[in-house]
Amino acid sequence: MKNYIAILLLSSALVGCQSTSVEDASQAENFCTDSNWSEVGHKVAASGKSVRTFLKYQERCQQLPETAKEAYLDGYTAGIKEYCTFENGYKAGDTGKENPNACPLELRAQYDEGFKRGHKNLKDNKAEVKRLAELEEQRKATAKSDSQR
Amino acid sequence: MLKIIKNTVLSLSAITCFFSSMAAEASNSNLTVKLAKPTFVLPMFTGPYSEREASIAPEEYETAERLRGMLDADEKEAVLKELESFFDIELSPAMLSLKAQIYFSLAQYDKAEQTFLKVLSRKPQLVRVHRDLGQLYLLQEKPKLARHHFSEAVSYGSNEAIVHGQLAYLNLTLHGAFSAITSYQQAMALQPEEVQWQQGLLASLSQAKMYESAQALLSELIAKNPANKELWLNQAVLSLNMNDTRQALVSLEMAIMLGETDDGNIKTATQLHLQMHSYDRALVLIHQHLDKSVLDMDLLNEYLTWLNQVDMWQQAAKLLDGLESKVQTMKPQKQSIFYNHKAKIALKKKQDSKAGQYYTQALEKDPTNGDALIDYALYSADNKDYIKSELLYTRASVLPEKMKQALLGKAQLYLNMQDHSSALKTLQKAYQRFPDLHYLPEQIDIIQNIIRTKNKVSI
Repeated sequence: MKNYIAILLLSSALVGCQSTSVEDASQAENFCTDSNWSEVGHKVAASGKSVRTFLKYQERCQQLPETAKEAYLDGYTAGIKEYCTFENGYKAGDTGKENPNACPLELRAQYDEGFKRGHKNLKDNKAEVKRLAELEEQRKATAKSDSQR
Repeated sequence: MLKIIKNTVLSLSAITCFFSSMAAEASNSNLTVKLAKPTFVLPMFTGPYSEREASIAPEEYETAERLRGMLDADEKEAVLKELESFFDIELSPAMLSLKAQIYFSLAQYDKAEQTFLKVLSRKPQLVRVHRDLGQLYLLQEKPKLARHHFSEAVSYGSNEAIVHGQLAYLNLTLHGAFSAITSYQQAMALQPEEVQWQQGLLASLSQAKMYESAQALLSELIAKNPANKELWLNQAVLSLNMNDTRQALVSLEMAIMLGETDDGNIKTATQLHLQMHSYDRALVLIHQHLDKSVLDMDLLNEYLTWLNQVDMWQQAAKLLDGLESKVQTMKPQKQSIFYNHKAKIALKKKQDSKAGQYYTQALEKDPTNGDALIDYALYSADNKDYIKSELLYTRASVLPEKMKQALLGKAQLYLNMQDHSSALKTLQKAYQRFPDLHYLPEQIDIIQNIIRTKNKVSI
């Protein structure tokens, strides 16, 4: 009986694995054929990724709709204009991300300036934390020596 | 009314646009002087930007240098292939403009347009891109779009003569002369020797009826280029506009002396000579003109009619002498015109029977020759052959262009024959058909009175 139960559990687990991979494939197929490529382009740009991300989609999808590339690029162009701002640059720099260098030349200056300042702020914050930590260490060390006396 | 028409000439070198017909009115006769229209030559692709308003990205320097070398070696396709390997958004506006220019130079106009528009969506202040896109639209015969981009180029600070000149040209064609004058002046200020701007400004000033300014400009241009026949033709047009027929004629003669051969202009010069009673010169021009060209019966007809109007029938006879063999090869309708003139000249020479023969010949060749029908009807009436005259008028009255003349002639014939009731019917018919003959009701009243009086007397 124990054996039977074990076989049953194993087979049901295998069935579970099988259905997951079919689902993934189906989802991937849906992504390739049913996506709103303008939105995809917009999202890619909004996350500060390179326009060349599209090439990965091309690789991944056997067949893309004819209009996918144009729609993607339209969405990306609109998205990157929204993305390449001083504020987004600052956020990226302040959170320790790398500069993706995705901004077109005419928008690059403001993003880079934000990034530079954000990065400096992060660096300053880190230095401050380090200083405070060192102070804390010093305080602890002083307290310890006082108590031993 | 004087009508002056300027024609357009298509330039061969590259791309040519042209001015639409321009007309001005003056004086009281129909005279036409044809001018070569101001031409407009669009420059083609001239290579990469030597000076860029838009700078390239630092990471593009190396590529840009390499592409420059390839362009110098005229490897546009290879450059394009390399630029196409990038997504447009990855290229700086300057490099993208270069890509658009190469599409333009390779006559891939749709791609060029799309790429120029992409550049402008990213950098709307790039004056060179506005200029190039304007030229592309001119080439594609989209003048409104072209005008928009030239005006954008100017408003963003472009101070190139060609941009001002193109804007002026488009304003002239789309919005009239007044909107073109300043831009032509700007273009001329930057390139004073450029013929396109001179012609354009002259045309604009003339169209705007700013004749004094146009005359001042033209006088200056003629002083610089006295052997330019187009300038003399312009002077003729301007003089006609200013009702200075003598100056117009002098200018036309200068143009003819410098080689002007346009049929219409020779005719106008001849007509002006006839108007101004310089008949000898008129005849010389007529002879030269007729000798030079394949016999054109319409032209001959015009000349003969003018000569007849000034009672120069002997000269008209000379003109016809020797043409008969040429005429025999023409279509019957054309021969009919010739014989009608022969008939008129015979009448002047008091050769009545010959005149009758020529009229008959004219109508044999073309039974619908309205002039011959009317003339022959008059001739028949003069010779008391009323029945024939009536018949000829009746035939002429079915021709729309001769109906009025035929009905009035026929009415006159009836009056001469004392056939008042037929005259009355004919005049009533004429008035019904041509109510613009405002003097007819009075005539009709008079005839009705005569008829009433006659009836009373007979009672």
